[in-house]
Amino acid sequence: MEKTLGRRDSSTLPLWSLLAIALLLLALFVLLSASGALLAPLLGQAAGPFDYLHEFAHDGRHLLGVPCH
Amino acid sequence: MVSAYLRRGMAAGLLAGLLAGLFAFLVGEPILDRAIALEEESAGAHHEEVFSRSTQKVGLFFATGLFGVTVGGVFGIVYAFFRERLAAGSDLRRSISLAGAIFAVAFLIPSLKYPANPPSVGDPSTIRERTAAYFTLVALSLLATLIAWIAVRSLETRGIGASRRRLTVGAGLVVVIGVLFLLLPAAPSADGFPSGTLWAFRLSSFGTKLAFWAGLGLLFGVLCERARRKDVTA
Repeated sequence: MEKTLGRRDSSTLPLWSLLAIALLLLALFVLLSASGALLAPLLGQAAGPFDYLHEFAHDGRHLLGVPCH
Repeated sequence: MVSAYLRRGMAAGLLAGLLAGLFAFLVGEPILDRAIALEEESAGAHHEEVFSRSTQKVGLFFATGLFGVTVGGVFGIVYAFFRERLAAGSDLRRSISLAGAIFAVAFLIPSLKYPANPPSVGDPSTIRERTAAYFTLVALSLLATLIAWIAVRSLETRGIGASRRRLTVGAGLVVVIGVLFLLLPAAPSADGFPSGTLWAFRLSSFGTKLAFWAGLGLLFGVLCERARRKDVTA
């Protein structure tokens, strides 16, 4: 009885947690790959400030093995 | 229930990220410094830097820490979904096996096709294509493994034996990953970069990722076990 209840609890994830996954992955992408050059076609001039984040996180990105520049 | 796993994932991820950052700082940074010195030696490569090297080394911990918080959060939610479906007996073992699986599928396999590169390898004008190719491989590698996992389960309900099940689906997965490797664009050439430094850099990047996933699997498992014991005694 308890086992079937446990299964039901985790069989589907609540909607908010799927949204949370999407948000976390977006944040991860911004951290790992956002740069002025990458986002310029999407954001135009507004993409510039992403270069500061890009340069600050530069070493981490290289050592985590993500394409950088 | 899921929110508790999310919190534990973010906490374990932050710690694992800082741990990986420490490894990267001690092992990876000296090699990265060497690569950047080479980049500046080569003619015309010198350009105005936004941040000094020492600021970028602080940024390393920022990057791996934030990487840890976000990846750990996703890991916690995914764990909440898979918890009852994993064969291992304890939270610690489940956590380590899930972290090991994601490390292999989302990092180890893609890095065979697109290994980590130090600065100056890769043409900056192709960064969009390379970024897209890298994340496509990570996403499709994860998707293929998820489908393989579903296939194993559905074969199980049809009463097909464990060894035949694993062999069939395992072979299918290898073929799919092989096709992905062939279809996706080639990795940038590292010609002209000293091979010793390149190899050392790739090893240090591998170690950084391994430190993160080992740390995440262990710490998340320990946090879950601790919460369980508290529940039992309360």
